[in-house]
Amino acid sequence: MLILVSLAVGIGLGIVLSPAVPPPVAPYLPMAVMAALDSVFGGLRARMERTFDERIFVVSFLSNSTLAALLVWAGDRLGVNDLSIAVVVAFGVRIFQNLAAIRRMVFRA
Amino acid sequence: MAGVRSSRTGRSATAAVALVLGFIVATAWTQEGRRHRTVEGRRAELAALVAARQSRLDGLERDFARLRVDLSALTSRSADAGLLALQGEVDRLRAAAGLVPVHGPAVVVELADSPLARRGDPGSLDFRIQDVDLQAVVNELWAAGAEAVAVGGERIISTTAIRSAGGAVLVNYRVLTSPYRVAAIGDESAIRRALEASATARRFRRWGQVYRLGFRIDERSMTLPAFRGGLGFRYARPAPPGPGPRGTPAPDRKEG
Repeated sequence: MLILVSLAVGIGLGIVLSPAVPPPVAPYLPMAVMAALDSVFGGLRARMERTFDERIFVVSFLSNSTLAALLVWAGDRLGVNDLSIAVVVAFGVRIFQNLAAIRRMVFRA
Repeated sequence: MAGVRSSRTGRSATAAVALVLGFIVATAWTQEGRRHRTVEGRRAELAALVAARQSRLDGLERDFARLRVDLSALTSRSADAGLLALQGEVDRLRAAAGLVPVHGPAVVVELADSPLARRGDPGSLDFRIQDVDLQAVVNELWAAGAEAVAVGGERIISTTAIRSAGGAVLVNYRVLTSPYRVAAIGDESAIRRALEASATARRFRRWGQVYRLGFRIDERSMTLPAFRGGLGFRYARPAPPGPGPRGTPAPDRKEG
């Protein structure tokens, strides 16, 4: 409950403040979002499997989103273009796997 | 699992993470919307700029045409016989060079983009009339004996280029859009016969079925406008008369 309220407050803050992301940073924000969503669905799945660990959730959320953004940023600096695709594919696949696991638990199918 | 922690700090940390998550997702969401709007706004700005420059160009060309008329009026009022003879020669050459409007029987070819072409979609180029299509038709008309040709109201002269710029076609640096009307003055039935028998027309008839490109040939009497642009030759000079070697490159020309 507390978590859902925090989430709603966060979304509300984001919409109300709608902070201007500086253009040099803008391409890396979606990477952090992908990583964060991955953590969320991973956490949801763990919760349903009763293996949820808040420490793992918090650490994985922070480290994954920061590392994803930093890695893509470093890739752009090093001339490894489109590293963002790797992030999207890697986290995308994991998100879908977690979603599938959640679906199996919810619908037993 | 045994190691599940549910301490107070753990809960509040998770809540904080949820807050951060909601915040960055919302930020990314609004950011993306803002980016879209910026791109749209910039496009409108550029379109307005193009329109403004085009109307300025129109004004300058009108001035230019008026000054040309004034000049020839002043010259013809002169009593100098030599000057009048020269003026007659100039008038004849100007007609040949496409600098005066001409009137006569014409064959009009209308080419149109396919209704399947979508606006702003670069992938639908096959469904659009492109520079090469207009070039082919113009060449076919010259070959069929046309004496004067205009594309979309732009007179084709010795320095005219028909080329693509993005999705649009430029003739004499003017942006033209579909439908394109290519008009040729000359012996209309001969031109029409030659055109109908040409490979170009056959191709367009087939493309009309495949891509639904528009292609229509008409005959009517028409006035073709004069060339409206400037004719500044900065480098080309009339060569001395006489049978010189043909096609010899200038010796000081560097390659590469």
